[in-house]
Parts: sequence; C-alpha cells; structure tokens
Amino acid sequence: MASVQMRKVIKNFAGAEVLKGVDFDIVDGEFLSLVGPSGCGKSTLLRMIAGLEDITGGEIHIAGQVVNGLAAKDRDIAMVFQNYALYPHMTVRENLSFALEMRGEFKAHIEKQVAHAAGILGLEQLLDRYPRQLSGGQQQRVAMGRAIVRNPQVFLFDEPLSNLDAKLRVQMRTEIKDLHERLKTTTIYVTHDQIEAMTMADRIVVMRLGVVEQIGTPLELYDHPANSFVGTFIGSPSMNLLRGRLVGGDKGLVFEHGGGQSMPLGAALSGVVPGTGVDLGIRPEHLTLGDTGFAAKVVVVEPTGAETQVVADIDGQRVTAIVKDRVSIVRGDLIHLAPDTARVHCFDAGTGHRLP
Amino acid sequence: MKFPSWTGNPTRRGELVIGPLMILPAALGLCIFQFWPLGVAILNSFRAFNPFNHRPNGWVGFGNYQAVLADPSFQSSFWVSLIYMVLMIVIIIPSALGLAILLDKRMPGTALARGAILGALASSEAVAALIWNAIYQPNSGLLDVIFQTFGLPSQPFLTDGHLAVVCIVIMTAWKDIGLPMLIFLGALQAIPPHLFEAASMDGANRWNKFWRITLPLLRPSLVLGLFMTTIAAARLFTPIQILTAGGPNGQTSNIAYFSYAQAFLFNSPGPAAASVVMMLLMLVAITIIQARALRSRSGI
Repeated sequence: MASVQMRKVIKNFAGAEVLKGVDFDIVDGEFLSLVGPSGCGKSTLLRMIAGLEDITGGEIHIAGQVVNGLAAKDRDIAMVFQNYALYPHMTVRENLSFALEMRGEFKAHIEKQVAHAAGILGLEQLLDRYPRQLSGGQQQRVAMGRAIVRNPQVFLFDEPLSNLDAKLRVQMRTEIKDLHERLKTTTIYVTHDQIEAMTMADRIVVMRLGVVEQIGTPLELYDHPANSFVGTFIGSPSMNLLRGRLVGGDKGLVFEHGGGQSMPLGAALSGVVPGTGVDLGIRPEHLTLGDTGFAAKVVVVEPTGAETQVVADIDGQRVTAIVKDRVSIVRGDLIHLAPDTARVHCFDAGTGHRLP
Repeated sequence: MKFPSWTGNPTRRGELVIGPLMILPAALGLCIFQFWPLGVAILNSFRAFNPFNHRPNGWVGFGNYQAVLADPSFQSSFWVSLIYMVLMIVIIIPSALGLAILLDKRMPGTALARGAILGALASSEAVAALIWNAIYQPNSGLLDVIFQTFGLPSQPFLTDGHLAVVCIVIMTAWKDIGLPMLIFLGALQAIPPHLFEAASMDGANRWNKFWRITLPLLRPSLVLGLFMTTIAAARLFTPIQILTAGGPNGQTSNIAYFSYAQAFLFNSPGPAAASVVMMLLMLVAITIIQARALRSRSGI
C-alpha cells in the first residue's frame, strides 16, 4: 500500500496539451475514481502513473518517491486493462504466475501466491484453462488475479467493466469493491461511467479537457457540484439545467425562466445577487408532479417498475423528473413540476461556476 | 417429428445453386492442373515406356521405384533435397522473422526496405538466377571482385559442389524471403499492443517479451512459413537449372531436378514419375512431423 501524489502533471501529444497541470493526492489505502467524458485525459493520466506514458511536466510520487524516470516494472504497481490483456497462449495459472516468474521468485512461492489469489477470486477450478475458454466475467477475474498475485503497492483499473454486459457489470462492481475492502490496497479506478464511480469510490476526481473539475466524496459531488459540468455529469438521469435569471422578490429570490415562467425560491440561494443570469440545477428526483410549479408538456413517460421517469418540455427546454408513484399521464398531457427549492443548485450562466 | 427439408433455411436456398457455381472454376482448375497430373504421375510411376515415342507400353509394378532407389544419383539427390530444406529453413525463417521485426519498428527507410524485399519476391525466378549467376562468376563476378578488393582469393562459388549448394540456397533465400517476412510482419502487427504493456507492468524485459509473448503468438505464422519454405525447398528447380544444371557432378541436383533429368534428358518417364511420387511422400512425411512437433495446446 502507498500514497500517490500528482504534482502539476502535464502531458503533451504532438504539441496538444491533453493534461494541463493535474494536482491531487491519493491517500494510502484509498479507492479513488477518475471520471470524465471521452478525451478528458483520465486514461492518459492512469497510464502515466503506470509508467506506460512519459510525463511531459510535473511529478508523480508513489510512496513518497518521484517515479517520473522509473520504468513500469520498477514502480510496484499492477494494472487491470479494459480488455483484460490476458496472455492468450498461457493458461490461467501461467497468466497468474508470469509476473512472479519475471521477478525470479521460487517455484514453491509462486504456486503459493497463485493459489492464494485464485482462492480470493474463486479461480481454483479454472487454473488449467486458457483465456479463450473463459467467459468475460471469468477473464475479468483472472485479470484482477494477475494484479493481486503480485501484492503491489497500488492497483490501477482502466475501465475494467466496460466490456461486460449490464448484469455482470453490477456483479463485478461489487466484487471489486469487496476485494478492495479486504485487501485495502490503494486503488485508482478510471471509468466514464459515473454510476461505477459513485458506487465504488471513496473519492472521485471529475476531469474535463485535461483539467480536474472537482474532487470529493461521491455524495459531496452529488450534493454540492462545483459547477454545472460536474452537476450534470454526476447523477443519472442528469441534473436538469433551466436557463434564466434571478430577480428579487418580496419573500426572497425568484427564478425567471427564459421561457417566461417564474418560480419563487424562498430563502434558498440567498447569497446570490439578484439580476444574475443563471442555470438553475434541479435533480430529477427533486421535481414533484403536482398542481404547482413549472407548467410542462409531457414528451415521454418511461416506467421502470420501481419509479417512472417523465421527460417533459418547459417552454422549449427538456427536463426529466423521477416520480416514485405510478402515474397515468401520457405524451402531450399538461402537467406541473414543482422543484424542491431547498435542494436546487444555481450556476453562473456564463462561467458555469456554482453560486453563491 | 419434422425433418428439415433439403432446402433448409429458405433465405439460404439460393446458396445451394450459387455456392457450387462459385467454387466451380477453382475446383475445375485444381482438378485439371493439380489432381489430374498427380493421378497421371502416380499411374506412370507403375508403367514402362517406349523410349522412342514416350508412350506407355505396359505395367512394371514397383519396378520403377526399385530402379530409382537403386540409382546412386537419386540417393545423392535425396540427401541434397534434405540439405536444401534444412539450409533454406535455417536461413529463411530466422532472417524473415528478423526483417519483419525490424520493419515492424517503422524506422527511417522502412518503406524502402520493404519495397526492395517485395521487389525481389516479385521478380522472375529465372531473372533472379541470371543476376546471381553474374554475381557468382569467377574473377569478374561481384562477389569475387569484393573478395579481391580485400586481398582474398577467388572462390569457386558454382564449381565446388558444397559451395554451389550454399550459393543456390542464398540466391533462393534472397528471392523468396519476402513472402514469409510479409506473413510474420502481418502476425506481429496483429499482436495487441496491450499484451506488451501488461508484460512491461509484469516486469518483463525485451528478451522476455520476445521469448514469452511474441514468439508463442507467432506460432501459427511460423508454422505456415515453415511449411511454405519446406515445400519451396523441395520444389527448388529453376536456380539449379540456371546456376549449375545439377552439377558439378550431380552434387547440386535434388529430387525435383533428378525427375526433370530422368524425364527430359534421359527419356525415362517411368523413373521420373516414381521419383516425383517419392518426393511427394517425403514432403508429406516431413510436414506431418513438423505439424506434430509444433502442435500447440493453447489453440494458438
């Protein structure tokens, strides 16, 4: 186990800056997730930590040591690749043993370590099979076994579940989390799926265009997004953003929607200066179907069993609401959606920064 | 119980007619140019021939085989054939692999090198043999001129039996290396790069990566290259005909050249056919041994 620090890490590819001074710490034993849309630099950053990409600028520290000049094999870290990267010509046993053989470990020790890793992951029956004889989930477990067997200081996961079907993904998510709870090895987990990050990570780093947008625990990011990007990226379905402006009223601020409707916010957002152009952020579960609130026209009704997602149009702007009860509305119906004003978010319409 | 009709899936009904029609030209070509001559050769190997009009005039059972096996020049050709095979495999396979690895690195000049290698492959075998004939010429040939420049004595490249075998192999390797190299290059480029990244993380150095990852994953291509080179070596004819005509004293004659000489120089179609059939059997035996020796458990 080890701590990892990023110090103004920069990466250029052919003159294009893909990481622009990334700076954060990962504490010993932490499960940290890097999330962001495609091209945000999260996988590049992970590969730089692994030693598979050169570092253009800044420093990466692992266990207090600067590793910029260290080869991948000398960093004592293990990585689980998106497509598993199992050696197809080797059995599961040989795949698990390979790193230990490269280290020159004794055969008896290798066998013991392999048996230990196979025991943790339930691979005992599969040791003599080849990767092509395994299902996707089993291959994923072997890939994790190959990381565990080395007992490294840090685990790196590069979108390890993206090749699995939805059901298996949920199962493997639990297995990885459980594994981390048992081993307590520092883990850096890259994903573009914010649900994975939310459910697994101790802390999340949200990245966009090579810049860290926000770092925090899953619920910190969910409840207090630093900007409209983080607000809409974290949470599914996404946070609704209504463009308008805040004006002063008798009982506090009033949100005037661009479409003409207005909504008194009461004491909420009291620190925001009236007259400001804003994006009002409302989570889908904080919109209530009733007789008050924004008048909207139903576009799509999506029942999922446990809840119903209603997509509606407020003066030309689409919003999504999650309704716990079953509803009997259909496309074209006129409804009212009332936001929970105590839980709305306000972002500067120009910069996207959180207000106040 | 309902049995599927011969038409099976109605959407595939048309394939029953179009499928056989599409393979008909290739099947016809194979029958006319491969199986028919093979069948005739096997039949001829059991026949006696009129030496004047070359028409079969009776059956001799295994007489042709006995005669060929007892012929010292066939025995010599048999061993020379094996030597060609071993030398060509030993020279072509590692060189083709080495070149493929170099070309895979995409260094400066790679395109030029690839063009040169494929140019040799595209050239006519006879033209290549004539070029090398000039290179091997005593005194005036390129190699001898280079030797003389360094004060070394002139070499009997094509007049010494052992040296001539090596010279023929070098010429053939120069010309034929392109195809196995292309096969190896394709296979190298098909190895997913993340396997090497995983190996780097696992602590493998360059040699470990080559020996433990690259080489095992190239196995199917290496086996293919090995078969192709073995067959090419067994069929080696044009370079022998142009460079040495089987000489000196039959020391460069392989079974293919022996068969040609029996059929067209000594008017003995029966022994010629018998030697061709024996060459075929030898090739089948060697490729079966190679296939068994290189069989993989991993399915790769």
